[in-house]
Order: sequence, then C-alpha cells, then structure tokens
Amino acid sequence: MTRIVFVGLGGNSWGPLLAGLYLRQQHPDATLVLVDGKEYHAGHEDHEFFLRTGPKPVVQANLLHSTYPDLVSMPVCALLDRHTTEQTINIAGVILDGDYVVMVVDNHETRRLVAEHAMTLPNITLISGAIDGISVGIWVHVRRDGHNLTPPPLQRYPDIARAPRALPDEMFRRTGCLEEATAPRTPQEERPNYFALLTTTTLTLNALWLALDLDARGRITEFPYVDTWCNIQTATATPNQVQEKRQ
Amino acid sequence: MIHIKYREHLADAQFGGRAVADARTAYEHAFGIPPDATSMVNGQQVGEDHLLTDGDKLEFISSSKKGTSA
Repeated sequence: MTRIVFVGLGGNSWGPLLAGLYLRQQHPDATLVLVDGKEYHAGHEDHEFFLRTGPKPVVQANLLHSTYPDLVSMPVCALLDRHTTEQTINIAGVILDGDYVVMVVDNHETRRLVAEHAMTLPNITLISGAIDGISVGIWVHVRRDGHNLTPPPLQRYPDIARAPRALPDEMFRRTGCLEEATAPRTPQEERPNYFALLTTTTLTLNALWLALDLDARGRITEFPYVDTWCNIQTATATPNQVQEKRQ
Repeated sequence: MIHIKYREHLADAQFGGRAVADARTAYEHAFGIPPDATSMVNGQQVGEDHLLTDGDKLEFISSSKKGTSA
C-alpha cells in the first residue's frame, strides 16, 4: 500500500486533488493522509482553494472522495507534535516507515520535527516546499533501508536544525474558526503570491511523481536532486544535483 | 574560478585564494543573501574566513520559513 502524507493544506490546497489524478491511475491502492490543525474560512480565498469552510483535512478528504471515490483519504485534524494532546497528535502515529511526505508549512519548528522523525525511519521520502516572495524552493530527503540517498535536511539547513523544539504559541491560538474569521485580514502586501504557491505545488508534486516512478522501477538511488529554487518572475530554476556519496 | 550560488542565483567569479566573506560581501546585495545564511563549500559548512580554491562550489544556504501565510 502506498501512503502519501500531506502536511499543511493551506498554501498547498491544490496538492492532494492534483496528486489524485496521477495516483488513481498509477497507484490505485494509495492512501492519502491529510494533516492540518486549522480550518478553511472566509478571508483566505485569495490563496487557498476550498469549496466550503471547515477543518482543512475534512474538507479536502470530502473533495477527494467525491472526485476519486476509489482512493482512500484519511483526515488528521491536528497539529503534528512529539506527543498527543487536545490539539496535537504524535507524529510517530501519522508518518510511518515507507511513507511519502509532502510538507508545505510556514514554520521551521514543524520542519525540524518532521525532519528529525524522518531520520528514525528506515524508509522515507520527505518533500518540503516553501516560498519567499517570488522565489519558490523545495528540498527532498530520501532514505532507503536506513541509508540517506540525499543529504538530511538538518545537516544542509542549520536554521531548521536550530529551530525551537516547541511549536510556536501562535499555531495554537489560530486553530479556532471563529477567531480566524474575525481576525484582521492579512494586508495585501503580506499575502503570498498565488502563482508562487501554485509553483510550490507543482515542484513538490513533481518530486513526488519522480520518487514514486523511480521506486516503481527499482531506481530510487538515481533520484537526481537535493533541492531547487525557482524564481517565478524570471522563470529560472537552479537544482542542486546529488553529488555526495550515498550514505 | 569559484562557482557561487544562492537559491536561483548563480555566478562564476575569480575568488580563488580569497575568503568566503569576500564573496559574500560581493554578492549579498545582488543575490539578496541574508546575513545569517550558512556558507557551504563543496557541500561542507565552512566559516567566513575559509579560503577558496579554484573550482570550489560556494553556496549560501538559507531556507525560507514561509510556506503559506495560513
């Protein structure tokens, strides 16, 4: 069984739906695990795709089920953490050995958490996407049989490794639908570029497709790049090829 | 020739025998390199006083915190 775990359904709100197009043909046994601790609400339509308000994983799961009834979707309406509370869920029970993880989140604390957890699993494909204005970046960590086929992100990105272990308080304060709906709207100049978000979705799904395809052909050791940055204004992309000896 | 990279920005420049700090100073404005970006030479993290050798690949690493505003 192929498990695809989507962590963060805000800026990557198109991701699961588009991935389903590929999965229903090539991996009809796939299970999509949808993880987010927040809700879609009025005010975010300018950069999030959703058909109705409500917990993001539930809204996405309903959409996936109505579009691809044969694919299994599992909503996880909680924040990932190292333990389970009323608002959090232990990551060890969500991201499992062999999973493919597509993560588009807005904080280094979650990236550190997921990257650390990935190092405890013998097999994992971890794809992380982020935007910075008109620049879009992704990195990919591939592990098979306990060996890193691409460099671990905690070695390559010290700022992620240095992130606090505790999730930021603001993540918990913003989980209420009413509270978010009545909060002041994000100023125009601070809203993410919608087309940069779409490019993040494209790059992360490209990496997902590549990993699934290479695995299916027994050639995952040929995964070609560590990370890449794309400037959507100049249409330039600069991948870092895997050059280090596979560990 | 030193190959210099920061995200989507690339450059080849004559910095052989000079410190990483010199390359950072030369390109930080044009490439938008943040002050806290890590310096990597040939995949290994180095200090700002590391001397570059012709053929080295110098990359400044800074991951974006932003994935989405939500």
